[in-house]
Amino acid sequence: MVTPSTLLWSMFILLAVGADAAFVIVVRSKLATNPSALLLSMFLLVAAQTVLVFLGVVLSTRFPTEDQTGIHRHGYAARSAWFIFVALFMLAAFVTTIPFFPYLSNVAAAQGPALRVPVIAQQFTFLMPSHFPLEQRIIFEVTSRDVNHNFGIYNSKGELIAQTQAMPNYVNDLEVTFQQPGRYTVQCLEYCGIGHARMEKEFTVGGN
Amino acid sequence: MKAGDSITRMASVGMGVVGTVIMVGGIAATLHPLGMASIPVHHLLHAGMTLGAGMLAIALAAKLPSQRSERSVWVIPAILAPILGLFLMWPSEYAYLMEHHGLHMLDHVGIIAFSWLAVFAAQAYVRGLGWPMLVLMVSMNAAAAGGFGVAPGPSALLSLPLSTVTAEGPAPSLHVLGKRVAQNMGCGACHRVDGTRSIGPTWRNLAGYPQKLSDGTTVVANYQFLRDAILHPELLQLEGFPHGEMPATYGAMLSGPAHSDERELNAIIWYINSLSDRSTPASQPPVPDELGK
Amino acid sequence: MAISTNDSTGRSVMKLYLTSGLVLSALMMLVGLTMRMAQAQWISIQPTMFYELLTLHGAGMIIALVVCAMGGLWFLMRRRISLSAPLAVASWILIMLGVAGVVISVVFGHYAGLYTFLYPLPFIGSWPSWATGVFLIGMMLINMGWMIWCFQILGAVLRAYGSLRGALGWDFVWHPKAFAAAGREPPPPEAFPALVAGLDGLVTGMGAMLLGVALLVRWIDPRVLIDPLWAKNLTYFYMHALANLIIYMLAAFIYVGLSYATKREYHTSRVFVIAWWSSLVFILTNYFHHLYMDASAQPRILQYVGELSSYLTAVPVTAVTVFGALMLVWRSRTRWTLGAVFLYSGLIGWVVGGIGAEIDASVPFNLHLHNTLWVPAHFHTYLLGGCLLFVLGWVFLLLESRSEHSTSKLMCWLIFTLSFGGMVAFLLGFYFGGASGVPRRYATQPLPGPLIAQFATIGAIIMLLGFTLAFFEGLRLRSAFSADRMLWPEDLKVDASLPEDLKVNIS
Repeated sequence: MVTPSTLLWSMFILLAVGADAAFVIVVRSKLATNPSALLLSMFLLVAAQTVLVFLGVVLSTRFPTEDQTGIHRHGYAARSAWFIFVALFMLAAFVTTIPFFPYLSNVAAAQGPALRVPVIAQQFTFLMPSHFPLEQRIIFEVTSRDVNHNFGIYNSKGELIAQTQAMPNYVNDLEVTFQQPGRYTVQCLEYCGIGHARMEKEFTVGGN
Repeated sequence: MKAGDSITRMASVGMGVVGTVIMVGGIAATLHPLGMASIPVHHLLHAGMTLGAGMLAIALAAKLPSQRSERSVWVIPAILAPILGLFLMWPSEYAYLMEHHGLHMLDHVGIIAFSWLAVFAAQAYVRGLGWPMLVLMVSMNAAAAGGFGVAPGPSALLSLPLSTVTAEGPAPSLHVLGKRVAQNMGCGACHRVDGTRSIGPTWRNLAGYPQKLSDGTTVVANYQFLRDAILHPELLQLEGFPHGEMPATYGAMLSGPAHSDERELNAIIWYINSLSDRSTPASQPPVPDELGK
Repeated sequence: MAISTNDSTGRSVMKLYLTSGLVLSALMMLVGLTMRMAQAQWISIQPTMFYELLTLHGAGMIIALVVCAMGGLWFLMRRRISLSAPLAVASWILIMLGVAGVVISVVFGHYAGLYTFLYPLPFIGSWPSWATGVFLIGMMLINMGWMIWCFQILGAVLRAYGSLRGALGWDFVWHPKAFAAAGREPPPPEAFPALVAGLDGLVTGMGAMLLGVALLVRWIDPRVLIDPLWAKNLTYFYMHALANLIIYMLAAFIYVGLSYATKREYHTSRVFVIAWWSSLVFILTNYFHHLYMDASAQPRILQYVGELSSYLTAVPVTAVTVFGALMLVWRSRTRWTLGAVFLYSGLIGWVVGGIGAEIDASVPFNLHLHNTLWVPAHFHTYLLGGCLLFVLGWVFLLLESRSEHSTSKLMCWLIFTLSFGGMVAFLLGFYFGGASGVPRRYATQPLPGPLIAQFATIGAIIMLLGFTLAFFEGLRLRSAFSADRMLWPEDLKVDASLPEDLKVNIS
């Protein structure tokens, strides 16, 4: 039986699915560059939807009813719809993100040989070269001399484009291909002591 | 009902017997001249002993009358026994202790006793907590094999020379090399060159100037002072600067067997001197500033 | 038929936990404000001081909220089965001793290794060695107190519902007809947070025990090797579970508190039970999302497990607990008192925090968000906008139930607007910062400038103003306490079959 509340719930769910699907599509196309603005808008959109739902439920208490069975029937139906939606959405999101995991080196290997660059993080600096070629697949081999650090690469616009942990006794690989020439900054993104906020290194790409 | 009861009782007894056998095996292993197993294997063997001890504990705890209320007091050994048992894994790190059969056996007896106590106490506290405690104790002992007392060595990358890692060409003079090395090693994160104080004192007008120590005395920043400040910062306490903030890693990076000529150290000190108007031969390195071929 | 009894001991223990937790929270919020003001460049503090404050704030805030959750859940389970009050007090004392240890190591020893104490940082820092030892011992004491509580709560559900199988509601789910025919009833809703917290708390607490002993041994003898990756795994296994468990524990407040406020009942259903089973597992497997960057060093399958587990966590939370709460409220005769408002608003914090979390848990996005301000953004939303509001809601419902006074509409609106409005501004500062790539745990934030931090600081001050007003309103409600009014939460029917020493006092 199609009641007003079922209709309302279905409309809302369709709207939410539609908007979120649109975002997933847009995000996929923009993931090569920094998606920070998109991530923020995605978050704000869904957060706003949530607040609206909660507000709606609060406002419904202006029209109280004693009919529990009706509420339960429609409520459980809506819940089943929501459960299916959220479970499927999450599974779809999981599958969508897999190709973008930065671990699939066999796919990337097809792009040509990689330049292996050691990076040693230590209190409070990164030991690494200060210049890199453009459009060259680079694998940063990142380790640490003392405590945990994090090798975070920012472009000249201040966008964080890639990062990996720098652990003592271990080497983490980070694969990056610089598409834009210019100045880049590395900052430490894992608290490592008093100089943590000042631990940075600059390098340039291309040009010269 | 009777068949179920006797099966339970048989299972209980069986468990107790198996557990005892494992435990005795664990103690006997200390006498057999097997040679020292590696530390991770050693932890796993401890986990095995814990399994045996726990099984015996549950078998014995089955004798306790069941009641619906808590035996509160038993929580205390249930919490303390695992901790003490874990501490008893510590002697495994010392080969000389393990080679002494008597001490090794005592260690194993201790581990067994605490494991037994932990599981028994849990089961005594509330019936039904024994099995989870057993699983947790065994898992904890096994998990110790992953990193308690054993770690991979530092990466081979750390032994690369600095100039290889930074991929830089030769410098025209030592103080220019010093500036580069200082930049690469991040000295500027704490030492400014413009005269302002940061986390550490500024390098401008440092060399040759008197420095106030936290004990009230004053010492001039000559070559030896600068050397010691870089290589052994933990021994230096300047007034107004908290002790221990400078990393102690530079000592190994700039001197020692791999850096017997201390070229980079002297380069840095030349750079510091170049920033001071009171630089004298007393504050300068004994090596001249020009880099030979 | 419910006998009106007065379990004054149980209530006193709950009050001990809630009061100490809230006082600690208030102090920690002031510490947090100080840090944000420093980042806003409105005050100037040394980096060492900043990181000491951060260590204190992180550890203190988590412990404060854990303590509140422990106290409330303990009381709710005590209505169902006898629970030893001395044991609960012993647990509390151990935790407070541990807190004292942490405070001493930070204030007097200048320990600044943060509450994640990632090996080997506690040993390679600018603070004296004794401070590291005192900090570690403090953490061990806190863990011991936590584990005593876990033992007690897990023991309680085992005793009350027969066995682990009964506490899990196993037969209720798989053989519902036989279950009902035998006249059995499933455990009440609040027993499931208790089970999950007790069991998962015990499991991760054991991990923490192992790590704690290993680090203490290393502290005593620096020659002992510790694998940093192993230590990292154990640290996050424990810390993630502890922080995550807080909000699951507080779900019990929703089941009991929101039922009271909406005057409707919340039942255990099969869907409900299955949802809690999945949470039981997910809470343990989620922690891999802290190790996405270590794929070269660890088996890659763990990264996939971490993402999938983190994603699916949203299902039981939104589809059961939150949806169920919304169904309770939908067209109900709820009187929107301050308690009801806080409790309900906490649900928004839980969901919104979850959105931020799910975005961060996506590996490709994590590359841009890991260890930026996005991380504190999402967990402050959970802890401030979820957990703290749940605790405040519970406390106010308790006060309101027994008070002759009631909060005026104006006051209610004022407190709500200030608290919530300020909170949103404060949190947005973190989200904007995180999306811009601003790193977390930076004493100074040269980029993109102090503007975001200033906006956030103003938000925090407004929020604290709202909380202060709420505090005085709470005092006012308390001052008009009337013993004649119905006790809530009501004590339940005394089980006549229990021996005397298990019955609560009848007054």
